[in-house]
Amino acid sequence: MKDRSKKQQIHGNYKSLPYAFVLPGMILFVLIVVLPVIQTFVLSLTDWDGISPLNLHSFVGFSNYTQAFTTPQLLTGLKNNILFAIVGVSIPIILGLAQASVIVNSKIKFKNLFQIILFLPQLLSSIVMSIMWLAIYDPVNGVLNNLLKMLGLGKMAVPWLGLSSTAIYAILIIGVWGGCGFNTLIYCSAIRAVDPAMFEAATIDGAGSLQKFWWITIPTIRKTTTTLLLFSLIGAFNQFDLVYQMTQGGPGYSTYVISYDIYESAFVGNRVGFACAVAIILAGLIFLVSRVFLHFREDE
Amino acid sequence: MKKPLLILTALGLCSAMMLSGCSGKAGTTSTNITQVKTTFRFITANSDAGSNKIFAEAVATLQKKYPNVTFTNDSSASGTYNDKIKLASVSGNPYNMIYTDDLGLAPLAENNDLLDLTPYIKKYNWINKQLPGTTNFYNQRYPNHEYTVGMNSAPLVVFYNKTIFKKLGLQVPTTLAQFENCMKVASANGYIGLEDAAQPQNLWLLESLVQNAVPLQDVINWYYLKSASPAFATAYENAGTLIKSWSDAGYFRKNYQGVNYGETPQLFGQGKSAMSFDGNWNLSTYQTTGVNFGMFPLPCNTTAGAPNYIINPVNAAWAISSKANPTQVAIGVDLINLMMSNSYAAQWETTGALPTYKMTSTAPTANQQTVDQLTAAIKKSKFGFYLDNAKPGILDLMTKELQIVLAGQETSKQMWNNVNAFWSQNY
Repeated sequence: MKDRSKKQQIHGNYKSLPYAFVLPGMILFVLIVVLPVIQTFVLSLTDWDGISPLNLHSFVGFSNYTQAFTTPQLLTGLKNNILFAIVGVSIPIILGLAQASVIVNSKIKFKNLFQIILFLPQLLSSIVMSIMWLAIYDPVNGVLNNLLKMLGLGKMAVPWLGLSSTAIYAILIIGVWGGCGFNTLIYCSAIRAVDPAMFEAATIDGAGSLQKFWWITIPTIRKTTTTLLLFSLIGAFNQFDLVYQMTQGGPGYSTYVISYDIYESAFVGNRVGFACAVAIILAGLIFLVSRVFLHFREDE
Repeated sequence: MKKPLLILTALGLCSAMMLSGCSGKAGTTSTNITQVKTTFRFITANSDAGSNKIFAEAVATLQKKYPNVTFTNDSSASGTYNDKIKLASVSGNPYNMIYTDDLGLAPLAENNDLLDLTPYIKKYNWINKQLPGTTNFYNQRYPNHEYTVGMNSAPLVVFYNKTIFKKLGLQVPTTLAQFENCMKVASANGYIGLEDAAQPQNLWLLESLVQNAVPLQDVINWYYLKSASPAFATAYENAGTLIKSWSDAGYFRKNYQGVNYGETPQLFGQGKSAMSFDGNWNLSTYQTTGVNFGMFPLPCNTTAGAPNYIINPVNAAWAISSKANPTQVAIGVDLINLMMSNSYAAQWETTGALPTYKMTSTAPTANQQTVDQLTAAIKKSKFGFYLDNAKPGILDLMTKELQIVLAGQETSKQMWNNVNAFWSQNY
């Protein structure tokens, strides 16, 4: 009896132990994530300018939200974010998969070296990337325009970041260039993890390389693809640093994105309440997109 | 027995606290203000080496008078400067002194975070020590209050290539039509009429044109968010249309829309540009280009000899926190007095700044000749505003709307409507 109650006591003590280990992290999570989110929502219902005292007179209800949905600049930003989500996500995925497939399945030498070279852009900070590409896109002394002139294509030498028709695509190219390497690396691991027996069986059945790729590789690495897609989608809606460093949303509003509007409203325009409302809308959008995505993924 | 002892101990502690509080207060009133141990934190938008050297010297001088004070200069690049000030203010630990521009000042003043300097302005006669209008420049938003004291001005001037002008037989223009002719002749002869970039030069051109097309009171009313007159609206639209015509005529560098403003002096330095519209803060950069250049104020007047308003505002101004203690206030006042002296004004000149202090003759500085040229060039011009400082956030809007007009994607009228809509909003 005594042993049994002692065992129960020890078991009871150990029951709460996991919570004790999780508690510090949860406290940090609540302080750094949960509370600021709640605070952001509360501030989004005010017209706070970031400096004056916050009081009941600051409360404006949902007027920040109605204003956000009727601001043309924000709608342009949303359109650009969707463009990033479609083009800036799909192309790096496709290119990453193609590159990984060549690296893993082909008989080229120095596979690891190619993998490293393709991954190098991922190591660069966004500010370094911006400085580099600003130099490439410079209309007077930039590498791109000088190359075009050398090739006799001087007519195509335009101010890439200065025209509304080209600026957003110029930034998209940087996003694609930066994202390909990471996807290649992940896909290389995923393709290497595919059971070789399946390829052997397919070879015996007379399947060609493309058929093996389409019917074995792609379905097997499906989960990897959907994970990369999800992270890339979230990144597309959070796009800020390249725009801030290279074009500041211009020319006009052609490269405007929602995150840039949040920055401008909060830190330049002193409209913290409005910026918080836009931030909540953006968070809601990302949540919605990711939930829909995960729903389809779970269905698979 | 225990309870009475506890009560006695508590009473004794309370008495001791009260007495120490009283003696502390008496100690404060009798302590020399220069001997108080405290900190003095200030921040400015000037983070270059020349400015930091001047501030370090000022701090060293003040340290002798206030030996128990710990000085901290938190100056940073202008991008983060106003953010730091706002963050410090809202977190309850504001800077004791700031060197701020109009946009940084306004929310602090409205929040009663700044000390009214009127008694000190009167006591030390700061108004008369400076060029006319300097002290009032930022204080016009707050009738009956004076929260700031200016130090340097930031004029925009046209840098011109003397060699190209001589070759083409051009004279320094004194009217808008003459200026336009200079661009036209230069472009027709294979030169770049006016060096330009994606921003902000075109907006500066627009602001200069507007300020010379309407009565000064209309400009002041718009800048201080009082009213937007029909004349102002018309001037704004006309300015946008005119700049677009210059762009379409090819007076600017080809593909200027993609050029970064920071490259402007270097591009001018290639010797193919007749003119460049830029600020005095880039004076030393233009000097390094090797181009034989001169300066003149942008002539936006339509008749020779008429008043010409150029963008030449007080660059930034000193302000003291309303929460500063007496010693910190005294240090702030002493710092302003230091800056209002020949020696410090001369030092600011060496950095390329244009002091608003009325200097008496001093020994020439290394930069003296060029600064004298700049001063002489703008001597007859009138002080104008950076209209994009009218309210937070309007600079981005004005810049983008003008870019859209120059791209031919909207009319000047639509541009004005969008700018006016933002200007009219109560935020």
